[in-house]
Amino acid sequence: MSFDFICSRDRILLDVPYQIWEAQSADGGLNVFLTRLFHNKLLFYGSNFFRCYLSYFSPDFIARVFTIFGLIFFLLGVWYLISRKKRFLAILFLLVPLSPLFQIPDTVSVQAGILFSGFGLVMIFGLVSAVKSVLALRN
Amino acid sequence: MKKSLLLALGVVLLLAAILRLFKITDDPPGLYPDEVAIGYNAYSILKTGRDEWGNSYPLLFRSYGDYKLPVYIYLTAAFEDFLGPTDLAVRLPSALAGIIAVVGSFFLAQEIFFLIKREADPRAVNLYSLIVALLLATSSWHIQFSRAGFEANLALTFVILGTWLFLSALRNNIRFLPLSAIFFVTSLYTYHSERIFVPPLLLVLFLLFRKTLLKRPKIFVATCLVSLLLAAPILALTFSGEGLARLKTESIFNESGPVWENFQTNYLANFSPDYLFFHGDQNGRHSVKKIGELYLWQLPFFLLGTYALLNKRSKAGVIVFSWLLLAAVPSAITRVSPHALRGLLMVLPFEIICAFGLWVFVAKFPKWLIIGLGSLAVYEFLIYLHIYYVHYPVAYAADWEAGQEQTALYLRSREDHYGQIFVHPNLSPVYLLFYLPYDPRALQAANHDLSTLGKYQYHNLYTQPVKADSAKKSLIVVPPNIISADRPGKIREIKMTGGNPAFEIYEF
Repeated sequence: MSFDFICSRDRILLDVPYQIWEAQSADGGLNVFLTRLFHNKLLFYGSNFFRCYLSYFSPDFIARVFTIFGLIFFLLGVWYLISRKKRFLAILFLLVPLSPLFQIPDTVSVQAGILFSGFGLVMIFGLVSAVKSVLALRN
Repeated sequence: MKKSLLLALGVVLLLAAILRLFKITDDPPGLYPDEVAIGYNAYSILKTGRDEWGNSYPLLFRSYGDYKLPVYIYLTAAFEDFLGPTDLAVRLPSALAGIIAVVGSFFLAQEIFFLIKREADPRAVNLYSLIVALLLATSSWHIQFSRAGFEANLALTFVILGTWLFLSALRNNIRFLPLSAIFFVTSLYTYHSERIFVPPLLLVLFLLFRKTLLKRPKIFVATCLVSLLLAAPILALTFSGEGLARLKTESIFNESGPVWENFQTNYLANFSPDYLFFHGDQNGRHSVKKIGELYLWQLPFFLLGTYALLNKRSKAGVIVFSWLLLAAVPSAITRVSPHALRGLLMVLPFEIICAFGLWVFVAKFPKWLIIGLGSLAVYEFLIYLHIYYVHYPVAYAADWEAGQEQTALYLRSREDHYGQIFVHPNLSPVYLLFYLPYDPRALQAANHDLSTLGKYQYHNLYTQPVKADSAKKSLIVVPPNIISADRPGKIREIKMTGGNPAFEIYEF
């Protein structure tokens, strides 16, 4: 499977009426309370949002933007981010994929650049930390 | 073991058994062609000692030309001895294997935990192992494959038991080592993925525990030699033309584009959140599609567990992560990826890591948060059950070839009244063979000619069906919309679950 959808605000919001209609029809004669319990707006909006949000952290997506060296420094960056508790950087990194929510849908072409910025940030952080660690070893 | 622990484990097992056995023959709504082929080959072995093609006790079953591995078929033959050639006999081995896997995961988790903390508090160990067993028992991924005759599920159970016995032998008594080897070797004879997965896993285990193993060289060398001897036939067959047949049609070497890039894309697809937590495998037989292979609430615990396990730097971490990374290889070297069936081995490390995250969480966080998250998990599980029992049997009836079984059984009940029965090729011959059941000796004697099975005749689509004896009535079976309402004499319409027509039966 390839990374086949670009996430946008519309993707999260406009699919929901159809999803609800589909689920209601599939339930057929089931008790209305149960149908509401298992298929409701909150669930659909929530899962659409998380699906969109997490798709940026998908390994297929990350592998697509990095070379092998980039990937190594990116993973190092993530490791340092967590183990050294760099809160601010981590929050920035985790918030970048929210950008499509605040973006006009027509500007999809810019999206890739904005999204990459978060990964680039972490990769450079990984690179810098690695260099620092090596220098620290020499002293 | 303590009473309370036994009770808790009993409850988990009961849950696992109910989830795997309840309505097992109705949902999934029909046996898919591989299951039926397994069922008929088992029946043939049971009655004649030969497979449907006439090979005596084969190690690879030719079947559709995909050369199936033997263990599941021989096991099904044993079940058919009691239950006859029925749906239950084909599915029960897998369901039981699923339940045993839950027990196995409990004991494997104990060994894993002892590797993390050697002097662990028994209560902590038991809590952790129970979480692992509970997660596997309720995993939608594992339930999906336990409820139908999937060889992969049986193979997973063998690998779990083999690994548990290996670790247990090293910790308690090295004499159990050969027992572990037997399970690993059996798994090689059970499913294709294991032939790619087990050898590197054993290498990892050897490298980790080489000091302990080499302290008792006699047992170690003897185990190696015996398992190599036992595995030799399947290894030899793997590299023969027949064994490679399946690999040739399915592997990425057959795909367009550079091999390494294909491998990378396929491999990483197995770890995509969209596949794992939202949509699952897009084959209707492999998941319910509306939720992921794992539950969404597990994601934070998976991340927490990964971090905590990496932080411990123990042998357990090496075993679990290499298991996870190796288990994605079989589906990466084949063309369809992600593939929940070929990657079924991944389910266990996911649950083990997730359980570790949960265990860390339970120890550190307040009770109200745990209860809140617990109810969220139960809610998601109920949604899964709702989808599995209400949506799934209707929506994916065609994926399970619903209607074939009902048609074959209907024909069996009416065949005495008719001289001949003309069958359209859409009704796959293997369903007729299995459900009639057709005498395997006759099939072997006819050189596996499927065009005529006693009264049943597959009609050539280019000519009209012609009765041999015009005095006797005949039946004709066709898929819907071929013959219009102009033609009277429709005596039956067979429907799938949910009401879509599957076949029409006419008298003439």
